[in-house]
Parts: sequence; structure tokens; C-alpha cells
Amino acid sequence: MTDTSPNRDFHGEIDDAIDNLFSPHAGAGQSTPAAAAEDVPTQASAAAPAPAKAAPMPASLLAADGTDAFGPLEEALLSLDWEISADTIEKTRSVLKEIHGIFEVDKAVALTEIFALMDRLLEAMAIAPQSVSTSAPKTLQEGLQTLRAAAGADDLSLIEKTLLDPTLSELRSAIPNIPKDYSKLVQRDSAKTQDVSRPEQKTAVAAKTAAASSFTLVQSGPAEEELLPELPLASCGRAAALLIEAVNAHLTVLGKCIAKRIIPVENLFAKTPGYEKLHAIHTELRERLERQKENLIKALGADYQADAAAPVEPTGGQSAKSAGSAAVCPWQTVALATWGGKTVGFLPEQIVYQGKPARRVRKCGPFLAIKKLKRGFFGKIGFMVQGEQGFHDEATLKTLTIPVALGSDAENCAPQAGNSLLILFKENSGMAFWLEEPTEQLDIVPGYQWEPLADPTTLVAGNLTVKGKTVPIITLRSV
Amino acid sequence: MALIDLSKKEIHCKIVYYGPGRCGKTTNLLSVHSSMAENARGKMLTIETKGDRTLFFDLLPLNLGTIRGFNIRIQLYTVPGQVMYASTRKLVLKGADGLVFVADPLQVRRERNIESLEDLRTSLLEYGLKLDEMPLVIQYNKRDLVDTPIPTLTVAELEADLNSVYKVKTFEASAVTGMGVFETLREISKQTVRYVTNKHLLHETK
Repeated sequence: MTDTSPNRDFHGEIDDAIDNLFSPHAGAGQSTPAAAAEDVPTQASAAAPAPAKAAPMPASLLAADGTDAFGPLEEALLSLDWEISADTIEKTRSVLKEIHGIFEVDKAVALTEIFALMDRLLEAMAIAPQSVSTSAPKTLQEGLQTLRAAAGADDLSLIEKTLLDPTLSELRSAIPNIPKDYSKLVQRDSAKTQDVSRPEQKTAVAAKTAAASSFTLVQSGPAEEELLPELPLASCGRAAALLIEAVNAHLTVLGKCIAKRIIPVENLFAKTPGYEKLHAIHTELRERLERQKENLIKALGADYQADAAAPVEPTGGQSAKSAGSAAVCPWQTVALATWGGKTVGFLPEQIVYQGKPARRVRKCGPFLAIKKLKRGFFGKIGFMVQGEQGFHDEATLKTLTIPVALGSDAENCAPQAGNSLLILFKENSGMAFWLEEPTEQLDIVPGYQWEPLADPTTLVAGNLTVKGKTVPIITLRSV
Repeated sequence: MALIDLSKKEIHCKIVYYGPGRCGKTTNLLSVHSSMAENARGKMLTIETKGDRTLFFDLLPLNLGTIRGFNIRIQLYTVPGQVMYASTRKLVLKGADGLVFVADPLQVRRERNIESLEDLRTSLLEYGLKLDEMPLVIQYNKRDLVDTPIPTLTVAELEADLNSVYKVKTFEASAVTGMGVFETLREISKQTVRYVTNKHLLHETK
């Protein structure tokens, strides 16, 4: 990287510019990075709760030597901020449990959700650290600040809006959705938790803790039915009553969420071409939430307040079940063709080219350069393609190369003499198919059955059953 | 790789601040951001995307001005330092033109420094880049802690751990006070712009 003489002037100019620009403390304001951080719109700083007011700590929350009982938690969270490891997570969880135990009964009950959410976030860090946001340690520290403030506050309602609610919402959004395997791990862990917690049910706080941890587990996955009958709801007195009330309120919110948030979006995705994957994800999400709701209702038994959580019918006349199993095909028309010996469907709006191209295109192999479609020396590629690809300028089109789809037998993708070429294109991704028969338009009528597929590894969005014959519909999806 | 737009006469260089968790990468950027003139700096962004993976980095665009008709811009990035975010770190590293390795001088972080430098080397190799062929500067941060009771590594120890192979320029710094931050940035910027122009541009402007 040394200069040669012809370049010296140019590099000299660069060095001068850099020296001028990066002279230390060249800026107008002399502020420390910490101060600068305040005007940086980070998620963490934007949502940081107001600092806890220095209220005297209750005697119960002081350690034997008179120090703050939150000290160990603070230490554990700082260690976690430094390095997320199994040891630090385990330590933090145990310290968190200890702190929950030393709160007064009323406060312990009121703060149950914060403790439960912090614990769930820690658990998620242990199980699937990659899925947890890097801001998670900071969110936990905000939880600690809130707990400190709550410990010092005479009346929790005073800090409810300013601290408790924002912290709860931060924690909720920080917990990732960890599917499948997570539920098994939680189940295994729950057995331990319940075994440990049962002897402690003699005191109200301990009973509350046990119920709270079970409650957390109920929320966390679909495979928790066997845990629910063991909920010690009936024998925990006031704490249990509060918990029942909280679960009923939760059911009401859950019902509203499903009806007003999930189902309308699901219906919208069902009607919007290209969103079939999102539609399938939403359907699965709704079904999981509905299963949870049913589980909770079953666990509550006679304590379930039906009026508090009135069942809500899905909008648009679509029943909860029908959305998943007998879904409406999201498209009105598909282009049927024979490819790889099978009848398949394509979306007309994604077809940017179809026809019999020049012979040289047939030798393209597994990748097709779009520029090969050009005809003649002065021909334009833009004239050959339509739809989304037609919006690209000629220079861009010249650089585009797309893969050629292999048939199910995955043999050589070289086309036969009579085969026509079809190109799909959507949002900068494309795929070419050599068809044995040209496409035919098919209008979707209500009698056809549509079964969406959510498998992200295939291009098949779902299967359309037409007069007893199943036709896979191939689409390019949004990445 | 640097983005060079000959039609607009713009050169964008990407400099990545790399290092173990909590070594002070973001503090470096904040220090630069707070001290730079407003017309030369862009908005500092912290980007987080949730989805299949978590992507998190800080980005600070700086404008060097026009040199020989070329508008030269530098983009400073940080990576998430914690070990668990290896894939994200690798992603941010993609297309880097220059690197600042920020070392943590705490005794307890000695191994993490070495691991992080090795992680940097292997991640670059996966992009077909060799660390010893790229502009690299090492910053020994948190030197303000040397006079405190906190056990820290000496510069000689840090040199032995991190710079015995690469033998690149090193800077003692304290990102919280601003000491050494600009010296580091100045050096890596010069090296990077030279590297980019030598590699992509000079043969065309001759």
C-alpha cells in the first residue's frame, strides 16, 4: 500500500482531506460519547424507562449486611450484558427467583408478570440465543430498574403507567417466538419447577410463585395441556383469585386479538396474490392462539368467566377451521402448463416471458442469462419481456441471470426441441421453466379446492384440486 | 467491497470496527459522531432487524468531501461483539474495505480479544479475504483504566497477543474520553481510501 509517484498527489490530497476532517475534537460541541448517545435514536434509549426515584428500600429488600438485595441481580445482568453464557443465564434466573421471593405478598403478586417475562427472556436466551435480540440484556436491565422502583414505591399504581407498562411491553417484544422444540424443553423444565414449587405452597408468596411459573409455561407453547390440571388455583386463596382474574382478562384480550388483529390480516393475506406464505403463517399463528385459549379455558374450569372472554367469530364469514383446511384460493386465474411430465399452475402476473426462443437459448444449461433472449443485433431485451421485468432498464436486464428449474426427476435441464420457455419473475428473483405444453388460462371457480403449503423450501404455494386432479401452483415468493 | 459509482463520481468505503463484546466499538462511533462537524457526518443509526436472524449494527456515514472530482464517503460500522452473534458479525463484515480491531485491555478479557481476532480472520477468509492484506489498525481501548485498581493488560502484553503476526499500526485510546479515537480513525481512513483507490480506481484515472 505504498505510494508510487504518479499517485502521490492524489493520495496526498486524500491524506490532507482526512487530516482536516479528522482532527481531534474538530466538532463544534465537545460532548462525551455518553452524552452523544442521548440524541442517537436507538431503540433502547427511546424506550428506556424513567430512572427510578431514590426511594428508601424496605427492610425486607435489604440484605443481612444492609446492602441492596438487588445487587446480585445487577451483577448477574451486567455479566450477561458482557457475555451471554449458560452459567450467567442460570445464575441470573436463580437470583431473579430469590428476589421475587423476598417481595411483600401484594407486590410479589402485582409484579408476577415482570418476573415471569424476565425469566422467559432468560430461558429463550439459554435455548435459542441467536433468536434473541442483542438488546435483550438491556431490556432485562430495564426490568431490574422497574423492580427497584417498585420495591421503593408505596403504591404501585403510581408507577404503573410510567414504568410497569412500558417495561412489560419491552419485555414482551423482546421475547422471541421459539417454535416446536422450545415447548418440549419448557415442559421438561416445568416438571422441575412444579416439583420444587409444591412444598413451598405453604406461604402465599410461594404459592403465587408456583402458580405464576405455571402460568408462564401455559403461555409459552402448544404442548402444555398435561400441565394445566396441576395448576394449584383452587387452594391458593387470594393469590389464586387474582390469578384467575388475570387469566380471564388475558382470555378476553386474547379473544379480541384473534378477532380484531389476526383474522382480518389473515383474510387480507388470503385475498392478496403473492402473500400465500404469510397467509399460511398467520393461519398457523391463529390456530396456536386458539389452542392456547382453549387450554386456558379448560384449566380454569368453573372459574372461567364466559362473559369476560366472549367467543368471537371470525370476520368475513370464514370459520376458524375453514381458514386452515378449506382455504380460499388467493388467485382468480392461474396458467396451467405441463412441466416435467406434470400439470402445474403458474401465476399469470409473475410470467414475464413465454415462447419459443432462439436455439442458442436452449443450450443455456442450469442458468439462463436474460440477455440471450435478445433477437438480432439491434434488438432490445426489454421488448421481449413483460410485467415486472419490463420495468428494468436494458443495462440491468443484460446483467440478469436466473436459474432454470429442474423437473422432479432432476435430470438434465436441457429442453426438447418443441419445448417452450416460461420465465417467472418477482422482486428481483426469477426462475425459468422449459414447458412441454404451452400455458392455458384457468379461471378459479368456487368448486375448486385450495390447500396452501407453508414449506419455504419449495416454490409450490399450494395444491389446487380441479375436478379430482391435484395441480401444484408454482410461485415466486417474497424473500 | 467499496461502492464506486463512476457516473456520479462517488466512492463509498466501508470501515468496520470489530472486537469482543463491550470493548467500546459503539463508544468509538459515538465519540466520532459527537465530535464531527454536522456537515461532514450523517445520522448515526442503530439498525436492528428481527426475523430469521437478528441483525444489529451501528452505522455512521462520514463525508470526506470532493477530491479530484470524486465525492469520497466513509461508512463506519460496528458489529455485535458477543460470541453468540457470529452470523450477524459475519454479515456486517461483508464488503468491508478497512478494519479497526478494538481490543479490551481488561485482564479478564484477554482470551476474548484473541478469540475475536481469530474470528475476524476466519470470517474474512470465508469471503475470500486475508486479514494481512486488508487495511487494519488495532486500537487498545480503555487506557483510562490503567491507573485504576482494575487489572488491565500492558501494551506489551496486548502487542504480544494481538499484533505479533500482523504488525499493524496500533493506537492507545479511551473511547469514553475521546483520546486516540480520531488518531485511529484517521489512520484507518487513509489506509482504506488508498486501498480502495489503488484497487479500483487509479488505473482508470491515470
